[in-house]
Amino acid sequence: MANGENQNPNPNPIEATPGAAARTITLKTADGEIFEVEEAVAMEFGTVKSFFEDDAVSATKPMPLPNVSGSALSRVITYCRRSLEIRSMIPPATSEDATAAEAVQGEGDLEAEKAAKQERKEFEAEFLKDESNEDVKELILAANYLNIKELLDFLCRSVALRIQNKSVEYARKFFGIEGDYTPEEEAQIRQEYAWAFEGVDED
Amino acid sequence: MSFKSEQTMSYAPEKPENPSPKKRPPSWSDLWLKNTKPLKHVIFTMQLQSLSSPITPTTKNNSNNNKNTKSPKIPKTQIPISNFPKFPNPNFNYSKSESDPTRKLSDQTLLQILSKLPDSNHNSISLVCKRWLNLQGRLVRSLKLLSWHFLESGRLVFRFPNLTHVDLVSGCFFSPRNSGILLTNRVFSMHLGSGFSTKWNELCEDSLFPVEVIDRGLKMLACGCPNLRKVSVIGASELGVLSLAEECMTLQDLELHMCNDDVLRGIAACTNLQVLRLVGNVDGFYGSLVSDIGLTILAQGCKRLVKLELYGCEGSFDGIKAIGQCCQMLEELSICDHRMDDGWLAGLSYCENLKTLRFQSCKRIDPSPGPEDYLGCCPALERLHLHKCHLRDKKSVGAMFMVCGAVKEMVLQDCWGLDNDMFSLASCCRRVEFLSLEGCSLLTTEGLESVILSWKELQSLRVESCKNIKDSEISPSLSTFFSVFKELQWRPDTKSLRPSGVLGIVMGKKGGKFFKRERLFVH
Repeated sequence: MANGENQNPNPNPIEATPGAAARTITLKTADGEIFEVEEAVAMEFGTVKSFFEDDAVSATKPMPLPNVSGSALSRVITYCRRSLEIRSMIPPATSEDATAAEAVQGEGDLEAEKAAKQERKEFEAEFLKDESNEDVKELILAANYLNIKELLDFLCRSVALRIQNKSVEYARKFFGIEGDYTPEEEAQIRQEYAWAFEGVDED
Repeated sequence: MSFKSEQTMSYAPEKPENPSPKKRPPSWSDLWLKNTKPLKHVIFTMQLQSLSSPITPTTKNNSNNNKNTKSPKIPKTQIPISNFPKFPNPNFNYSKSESDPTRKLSDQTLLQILSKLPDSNHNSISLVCKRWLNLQGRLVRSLKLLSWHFLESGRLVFRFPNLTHVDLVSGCFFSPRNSGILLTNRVFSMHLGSGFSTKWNELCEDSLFPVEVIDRGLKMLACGCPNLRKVSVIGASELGVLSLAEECMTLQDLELHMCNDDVLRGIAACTNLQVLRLVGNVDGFYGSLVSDIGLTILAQGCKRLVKLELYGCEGSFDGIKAIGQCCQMLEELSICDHRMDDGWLAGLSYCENLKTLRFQSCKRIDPSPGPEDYLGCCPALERLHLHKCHLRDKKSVGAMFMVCGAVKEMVLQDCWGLDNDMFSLASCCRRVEFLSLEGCSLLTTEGLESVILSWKELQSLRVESCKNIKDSEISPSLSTFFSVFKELQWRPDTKSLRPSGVLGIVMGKKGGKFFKRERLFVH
């Protein structure tokens, strides 16, 4: 059953302000690690969200995540926490009639948005800096399983950046793929690219 | 050009062993095309086993037949088609090896990654593995075909099933692969072998694939890429167009080169067509007749037409009237180098929703337009563009301006014969708000002034490269008039910076090839 929090210290825990009722959700990874995560963060995970929306009772039981390892989940949680923080930097959009005063506030919003974007950029650059290709792939699989759109999009962009304009061999090594073309097949594809067609410029 | 039966045709794919399991309702094209079974078998096999479809390889014998069964007019020195190597064993199953960790990555995630890679990487992506080739191919939406064999062998529809824009024109010609000579005209371009004959008129006919081949390719394309929205092709017949119409419900934009009245019979089936460009006669290259008959068939079939371009077409008042009456949604009409019978201008008044009228490279507009009372006026017309036209005949020009009396925007560029007298005929267009004159070297400031001072609604003026319009001749009333304009671009002294019509200056994407080939310009 649910062990205490001593299994694996939560990375970057958000200080629970006294009096604030921060509901936590317990997640159990494939390798048996237990994570207690703030509800807000856990709701970023699409899979978790739908699980708890359907079955409000199991807030106490740890939710099993059989396809995610402990290390991956901890990174994911870090990302989502930070992402939530950055998002909260932007005040909610004002929807009512725009008065002059609100127009000024609108500018303040713009500033806040820009600052938030900058923060996000820096954070994202830091986040994957030291990750090996293996780790990035593991993160993608985790994000895919947990259905975290923002993280998945970010990871796909990063992977694309890592492999773009590199050689075929590099891409294969990155993903650990074995090339499965015969020499003739490969020659045919190269020929086709050279002679058979070209892209069309959209008018 | 005679052709033996389909069996000896070099491009016919081999009959596969497995018979077609799918039944289709008979269609017009079935009745017309004989012996469609082999083709159908291949296509259905491809459709059913979409991702890992085994394409039957063409045998080595076919490539030998190439040289013998071609049209006899091809000189022997010209190598008709590049001999692709024999088809690889198309066992395009995803790699099942245990060591492939990307198995766990769903197609969708991989597609997300691949879609963020730049276009220049397409080649390397496809070479990584067969799964990537397949996924990358699914992302490609538009393509210009250079080698007909790529289409006919089924490779194109196998690799790129989600195509929406396809330009087949360059691929419809026999093209020696390493040709150093590019023949380009404003309408099409093709590569020539060094043994070409100097009779331009026959050049096109000789170098084009036979109509049956093109129709077959079109059918293959239509069946394999059902999401097609825009297709350009040359030398098709109505059967090819019919197959496009039947298979591709989303077809909106069609460009038919070497089009004639018969081909237009097939167009009537493309009921969703919105944009159409018909090229009939190209001076010096080929002539094909689009007349009132074709225009009427077109009008009755494609009622949703929004934009129509007629290049080198014949016809007369009746054809234009039919289009005006049937195509109620027509908003843009472009007439290029037309061969229409006199009196056709009056037909324009039937185009009740026409907003833009363009004349390009017309040697004459309408020398005998008929009595003024019957000319009428295009009620909704907003834009008139004249580009590189001969405006030497007063009756033509006068009638044209009368029909376009309601225009708000007038653009005259590089037109010959536009002197003060001719331009004065434009005073009948009283609602002009924007005027652009470029390259009108006969016009003087006086001529300009006498017309535009009467245009009370004029707000924007652009004058460029009109060397006889001198700043010194601007009268005070004209300059006061200028001061109320919202926008004024006054550069009559500048030489036009755009190279007018010298196509070869466009480098194109493959800049490297520019230096390897000589270019032959034909205007």
